[in-house]
Amino acid sequence: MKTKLSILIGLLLASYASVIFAYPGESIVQDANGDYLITYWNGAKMKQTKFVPATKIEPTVISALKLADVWLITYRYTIDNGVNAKQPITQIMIGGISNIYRSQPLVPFSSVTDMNSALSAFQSSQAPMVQPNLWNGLALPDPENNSLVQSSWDFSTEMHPHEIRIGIPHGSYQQGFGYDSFDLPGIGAAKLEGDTPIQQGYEDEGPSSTDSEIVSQLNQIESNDFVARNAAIPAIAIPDPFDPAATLERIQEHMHTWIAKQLIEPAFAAQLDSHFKTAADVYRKQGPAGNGQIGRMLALLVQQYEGLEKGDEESVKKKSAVPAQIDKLAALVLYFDLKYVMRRMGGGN
Amino acid sequence: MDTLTFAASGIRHQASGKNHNRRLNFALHILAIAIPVMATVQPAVADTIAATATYTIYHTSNHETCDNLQGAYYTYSTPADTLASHQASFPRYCHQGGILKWTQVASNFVLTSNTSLTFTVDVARTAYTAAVHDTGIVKTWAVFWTCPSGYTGPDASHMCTLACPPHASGTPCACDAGYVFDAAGTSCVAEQYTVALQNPLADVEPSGTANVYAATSRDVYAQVIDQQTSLPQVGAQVKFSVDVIAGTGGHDHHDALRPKGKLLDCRDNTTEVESTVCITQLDGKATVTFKAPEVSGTHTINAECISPACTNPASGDINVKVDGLESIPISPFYNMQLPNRDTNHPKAHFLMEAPQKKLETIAILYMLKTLYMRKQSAPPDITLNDASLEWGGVLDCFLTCNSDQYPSTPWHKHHIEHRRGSVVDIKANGSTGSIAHEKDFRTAAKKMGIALGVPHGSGSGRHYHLRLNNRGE
Repeated sequence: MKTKLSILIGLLLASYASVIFAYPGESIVQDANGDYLITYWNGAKMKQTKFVPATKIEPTVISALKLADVWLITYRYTIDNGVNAKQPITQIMIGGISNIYRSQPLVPFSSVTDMNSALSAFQSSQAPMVQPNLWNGLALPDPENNSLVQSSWDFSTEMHPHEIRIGIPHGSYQQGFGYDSFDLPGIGAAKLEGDTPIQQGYEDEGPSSTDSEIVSQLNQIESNDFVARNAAIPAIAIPDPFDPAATLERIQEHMHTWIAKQLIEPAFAAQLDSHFKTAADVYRKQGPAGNGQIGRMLALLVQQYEGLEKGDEESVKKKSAVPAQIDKLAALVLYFDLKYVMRRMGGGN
Repeated sequence: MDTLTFAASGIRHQASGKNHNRRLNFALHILAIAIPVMATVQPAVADTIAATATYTIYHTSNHETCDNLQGAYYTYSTPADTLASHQASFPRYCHQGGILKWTQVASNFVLTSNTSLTFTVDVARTAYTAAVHDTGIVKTWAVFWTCPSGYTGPDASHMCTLACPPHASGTPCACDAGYVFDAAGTSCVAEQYTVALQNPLADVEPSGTANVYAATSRDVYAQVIDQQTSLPQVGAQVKFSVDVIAGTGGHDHHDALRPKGKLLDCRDNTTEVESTVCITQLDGKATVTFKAPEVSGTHTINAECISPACTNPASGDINVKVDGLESIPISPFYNMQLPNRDTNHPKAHFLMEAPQKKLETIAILYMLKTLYMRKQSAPPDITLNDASLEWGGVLDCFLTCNSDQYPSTPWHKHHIEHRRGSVVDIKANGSTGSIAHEKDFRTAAKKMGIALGVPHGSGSGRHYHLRLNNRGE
């Protein structure tokens, strides 16, 4: 089972290993360094430039979940950069977050009128974030869906020009990224980027025709200039007041999104569905008695992985004798969610 | 034998008074002879014309004397009062050698001339009868019917028909080609069509972006109406043409080469032309498709119906523009290069609202980074240059962009994109006010979901081409 979701950019990289022709003579070629050599028609003559992508990294995102007091959940991430990475990781963005716990109200940037209000907005966006030293964390509205949250951390090489260690260099890892939330975890995408040099770019206005295929492909490259990895993120809101059956249904609904992402086998999802339904029914009719059904679901997960109860992806190991029917991170998230419901209903430890 | 021949299908007699027997005989005689049915007078427009018709009845006897009619009387009735029968006597003033002088004896009749009876009847009446009695001798009278002025006839049925006015003929009257009845329906006047252009003409976006997010063409109709009847005219030919108004769309320059909108030829609805003739349909509307050029501006569409009867060509303006563009507001977090060096396009700082908000947030995030780098007192080092014209579309810059290496001519898209208020240039040439920390600027942009790409331009022209909607437009 895949543990890493490499979306789109992988496909792009594969496709750009070959040459793309658009306007006669135009092309995008990826060289041995992984840089794109762009040959384009500027309306008067053929020109060439180079685009250094931020994807020359080998990231691994390790999620860790912990249930703290008053049902607050801590989300922590460790980022690893592979030994073959050519760039240090300097930016991490996780979007699609349903909610983040804030001890102080968010001041939206849309309300900013002067430097003081800008600082207030900035600080309110920084406040909920946990980050390692020298990293800047921000929680902003997700640009793709303003009702959701995007968390991000960046390492400013310009703010720390004398640092020996830039971001997360190849062959190293960095702990301490995170935030808290009352929402239950699901699985979302973390977008990671490597450090790129300041680039000269086009010496003119670039390709002359916005209709050309090369422009379309360049847009794709620029829009997908990151490496994506799966991460546990707040994705499932808890009903208030707490309702175990409704919570289970939300967990089940989120689980169904994993099928398309190939994080769970459909047959196993169907098996879990019956347990979800039974558990919800029992919770509705008999209250905590539904915990028994949850226990049976947890057992199905434990059959495939060990260490799920620790809430840390690092600690989860696949049981070699059993073929996995669910991705490791997915198993960790589902185990955590089910255990949460059980605890809210007085069961589990 | 003299006979008085007139009256008609419904002869009515009333025996009364001292001449009862004579009247009776006369009546019987009248009934006995074959009286042509002549006097059912039903003018064709009887119900609508309040006029009089004069009927002349000639006495054809050559031996009748005045004395013979002494004491004669006549009766008459009309359909309007068929239950009543009126009796009147001829006046007793025959004179002048036996010449009869009959004068009016009843309100409905005028009898004149010694040998004729002239009836004046209200032609609104649809029929009447009359009979003349003499002293016992049945007279034969020839009746000549005439119609009042303005009418023709009578026809064989003694029908009067409204005479056709000038420029009309036929029964019933029809106006000649090119003429129509006036509002009263009594005369033919030359046809007059009015052509009116659809109003208002909705805006349309400039064409030429890789992806079309709004309509870049629009159907426009002109309606031809008959001014007299207010009815739509089907089959009328309407010639459409289009031109562009100088100085519109944010371009303070103009020449004959300025691209202007085209019309689709109504014959094939495909070929792009500057004028075309279209035919009105049942609703009187002729429709043409207007296709916007890449350059914004106000276009005038003219519609002229090809007929002498059409007297007023119509015209209307259609704005080729991107709707919703707003001038970028002044902000403490960025500078703007004002005034724009390109005096042909003095206002090139327009954006849509959502991209503008993103831009401002990027500028704030970037500015705060500079604060953390102890640059609090420094002015913002984001300087905005070209965004979009106030109506969007091609932003040409031949005045400031032209060079031997990168030739630029009016109306040509030397400025790539910048057409829909979502792209803005940010100075990155190393001069005062340009971005000092490009990596942090890129980071700020990415946090707002903007894929920045590589800079554009070289030397003093180096800048970031910020696509705030992440697409080239």
